[in-house]
Amino acid sequence: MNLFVNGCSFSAGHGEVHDQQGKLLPPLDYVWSNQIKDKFDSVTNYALAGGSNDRIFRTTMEYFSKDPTDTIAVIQWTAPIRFEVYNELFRTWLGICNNATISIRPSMSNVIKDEDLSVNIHMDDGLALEKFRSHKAYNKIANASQQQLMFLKSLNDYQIQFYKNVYVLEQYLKSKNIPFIFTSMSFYNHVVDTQSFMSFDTIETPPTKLEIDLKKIIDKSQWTEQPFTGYMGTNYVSNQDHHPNEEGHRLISEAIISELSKRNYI
Amino acid sequence: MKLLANGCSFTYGSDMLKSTSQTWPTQLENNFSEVHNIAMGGGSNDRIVRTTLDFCNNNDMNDYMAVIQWTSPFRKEYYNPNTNDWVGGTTLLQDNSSLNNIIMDVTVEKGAKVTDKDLQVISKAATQDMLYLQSMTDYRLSMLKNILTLQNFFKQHNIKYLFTSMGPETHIAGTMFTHIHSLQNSQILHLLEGCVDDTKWTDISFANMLDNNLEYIISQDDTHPNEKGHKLLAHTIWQHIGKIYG
Repeated sequence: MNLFVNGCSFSAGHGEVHDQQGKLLPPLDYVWSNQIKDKFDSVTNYALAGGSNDRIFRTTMEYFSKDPTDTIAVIQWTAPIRFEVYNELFRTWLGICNNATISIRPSMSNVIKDEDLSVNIHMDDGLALEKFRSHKAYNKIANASQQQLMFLKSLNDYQIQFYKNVYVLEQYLKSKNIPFIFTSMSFYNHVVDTQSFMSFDTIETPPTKLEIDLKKIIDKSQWTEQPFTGYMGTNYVSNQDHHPNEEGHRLISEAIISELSKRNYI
Repeated sequence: MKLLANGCSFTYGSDMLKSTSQTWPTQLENNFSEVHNIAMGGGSNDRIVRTTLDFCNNNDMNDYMAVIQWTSPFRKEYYNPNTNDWVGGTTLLQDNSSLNNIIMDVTVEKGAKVTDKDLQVISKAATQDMLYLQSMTDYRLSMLKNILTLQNFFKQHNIKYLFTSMGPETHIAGTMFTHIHSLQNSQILHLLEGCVDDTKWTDISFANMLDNNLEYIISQDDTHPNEKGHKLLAHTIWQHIGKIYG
């Protein structure tokens, strides 16, 4: 049995994304998928730090279109506010990672300024990304990304896109008879209802009827009981960096094995 | 059997049409016990998904046939939490001279409370989004995700449906869509297109059915169907329903 993993830094590991030649670095040994590699014939991990749900959707479909045999998929969905666009100029996908979730709450939307938001743009090719940063298009793209977040899309819009990604990928994997489980980075986008999560975001952005309709059609039985932040508890890197530390990754790996066993996938 | 129709102005009826009673869903009234047309002029595919799911979740769909007319992928819809309104964005070419003259025009449904000032801000951000962020690939990707969301929903809930579209550039079942995709060199578009069940699509789009024939369209400058055009669309839709569902 082979394991395919996709997600963000919670599945890729935190830290550097590219090596000095601009190639994507593989997940380090402490990452949860590597801690359980002995249980599988092979582990393929497509997760990327800062990666979006759009990227998870796209790269998972691309992987399974090659019809890998005897493979289980563990998909860890990430923050809905990240997204990906295809850049015709550079003929590549750009990952857009906004770093100011707290600043876009509706109650603060009247006071946020451009400088309150920082946008990280990712390319798989690190050397091309360096060149792109000095190109005149870079600032326009970064600025349009900020404008989208500040004035165009609400948190609800991002959540709607997230649900569509989840639903279409769920149906794709089912249609190909691929065993899979879905999980998520945190309680915010964990589709299985939990009582333990209530924050300002959920109070200030109540779901639209469309979000409720979309959430209703997602198959909850394919989801882990809790998101990664629930399994890792306080085992994070530091107070400033809430990525799972080695012990956090170990706890996540135990939970994933338990979820796969529960469904007789392993 | 009841009919649910959704789409844009090609289904709602354009402003130049003398009466909404001339639209193709209305012309099918004799074939169905009830006709519900929830299309909106200038509406986006995002809106089509939202309003269709809402309708299906509020009605017993066992006795319904849903006919969905997909529209331009360049239209979008955004939620404004401050006023609880949906704001639609449509590309508008002010003149043909340069890209800088393309703007995103924003529209709202009747009764919306969003202010003109907010709409100006949204329009400006939507224009930036279109000019510098989103590519043709992104718009088509978004359209395919919308199509697959509704297709999977209908199949999962055993709801009878037929898909069609405004023009050849949005018609998945034809060869034109594939041809345009190949120019984008994007694997994900081909993969998603492969998931679309083209047996539930009309053979050709509305624009192809009307064939730019002045007998069927309002004028050379306004290619929306006229009354005769809507009659032709109604006839063709009814034929397709018969072919698929007997």
